[in-house]
Amino acid sequence: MKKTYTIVALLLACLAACIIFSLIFIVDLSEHWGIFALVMMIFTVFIMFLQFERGKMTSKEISLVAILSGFSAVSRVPFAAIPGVQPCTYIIICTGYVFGPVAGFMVGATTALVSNIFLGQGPWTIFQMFAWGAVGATASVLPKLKIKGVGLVIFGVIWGYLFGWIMNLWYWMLYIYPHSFSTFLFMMVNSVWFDTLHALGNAVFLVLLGEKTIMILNRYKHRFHVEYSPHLQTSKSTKN
Amino acid sequence: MKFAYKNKETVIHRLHPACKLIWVIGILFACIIISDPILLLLIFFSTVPFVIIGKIVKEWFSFLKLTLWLSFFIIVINMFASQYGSTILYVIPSEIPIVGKLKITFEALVFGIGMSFRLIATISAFAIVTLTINPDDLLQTFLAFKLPYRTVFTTAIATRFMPCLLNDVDTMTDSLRTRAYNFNDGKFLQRIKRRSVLILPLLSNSLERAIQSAEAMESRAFGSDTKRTIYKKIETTLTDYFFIMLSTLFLVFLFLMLLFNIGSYNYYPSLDPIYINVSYMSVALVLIFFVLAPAVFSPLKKVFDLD
Repeated sequence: MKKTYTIVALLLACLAACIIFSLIFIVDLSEHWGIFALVMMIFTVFIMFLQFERGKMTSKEISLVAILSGFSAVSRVPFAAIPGVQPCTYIIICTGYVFGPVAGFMVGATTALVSNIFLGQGPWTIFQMFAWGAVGATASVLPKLKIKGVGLVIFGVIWGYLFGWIMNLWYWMLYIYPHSFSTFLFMMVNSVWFDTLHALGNAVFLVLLGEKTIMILNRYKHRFHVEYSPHLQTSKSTKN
Repeated sequence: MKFAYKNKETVIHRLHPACKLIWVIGILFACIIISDPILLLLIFFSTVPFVIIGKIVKEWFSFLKLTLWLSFFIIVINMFASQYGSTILYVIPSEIPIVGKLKITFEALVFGIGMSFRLIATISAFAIVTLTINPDDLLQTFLAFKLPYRTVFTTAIATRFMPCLLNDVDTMTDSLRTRAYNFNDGKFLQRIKRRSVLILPLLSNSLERAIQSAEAMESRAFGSDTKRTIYKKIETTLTDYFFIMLSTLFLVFLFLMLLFNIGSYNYYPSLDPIYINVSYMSVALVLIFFVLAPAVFSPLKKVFDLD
């Protein structure tokens, strides 16, 4: 845990150094928003990757995260004909809900990376990784707050819109000027149709399949996760 | 859905993935820091030789189609959203609530066009890299860059299983179709509902696959030793080091450009004049050189690295 804090502190220090350096040497900082946004996204994704690296995970759980990412990327295919609808988001929500923040983030981030190997990488990849990762990570809070059913559907709808706004960010920061609230609003209005379809799709998936998917994932979670308790082992050996 | 990458024996495909990765990061960085429309257009044209040498013209065009659509949006949004220009082309007569009267200015139009050059240049470079790096080699290069192992490994498994899972989707779709199940009936909600019958069986199937692959990993003692053996190793030759060095120098040059504020251009309130003098020409030439370098020197791979 201590090491994680050191890494986070180091990364933040690097970021601060970058900003101070730029403030001193670059005359107009507002022109280079894009770079900072990109650097911060990369840092966030990287920190979560490190967390995944350090966690105690069996090979079964690693392979589960991998296959779920592949599965959620593949699930885009049957729905490609319906614009805006992406089952990935609902699958990532269910994964985060059952397996916790790190697995949720990983499935989200890997889904973006893997599906773009097929569909084409671009500057949007890192934003997709961040957005879907955040969907998975935040979904892990829901079981703690005992939210399910309708709450889960509302969560899906909210993320349908939030995802679209995060994806608007890269486009807005690099290609639109000035960076004011009104231009961002303009962008949001432009994409609202797609975001609504995305949100609606999430709601439909969560209503139709949400509970069942969570049940299946829970079952596999119990199958996969084995804990060896030293206490139980010793009590057994004394019995023998 | 297939891999965007196709194995072709061209010198561009044979270039070391690390070189291409650094190169594309360089182009992205360049496109962010440069706002001069002429330099952006030059960067785009300098990526074209890669497409021709790499024989990926058709696939590259399909990537650019998306860009045209996005470029159109960039121009339209900038025209309406930016009110900073001084040369007014048209004032929309009726007043819009909250926003007020909108004017379309020449500067906003040029800014939109400049930004669409920025987008086209970035996407062209990314398309080249996506189309010419083997996904397996890409993941190995990530490992060489000391990226976390588990993460890269997870991505590798997911990538490798995609075709397998896609086969599952095809089989299930076909089996339902033979029972006269129509996926396209009804409106929006009905269509989602009809297609979603595929998801749960596919999920259970893939989770079973996860168990199989985990057992395969365990039988090979995954995670027991930090020293790992790799099935296929990418060899890095002297020529590769030369290319990697070239791409790194590109990054250094861009950093200098950022430091001395070269390549930035003011569109508002009125367009900056562009003086094509010796210093401007030399910056443009060096930029073109670095963007083009991997393509220009790529025949070296054929001469020095014989398989």
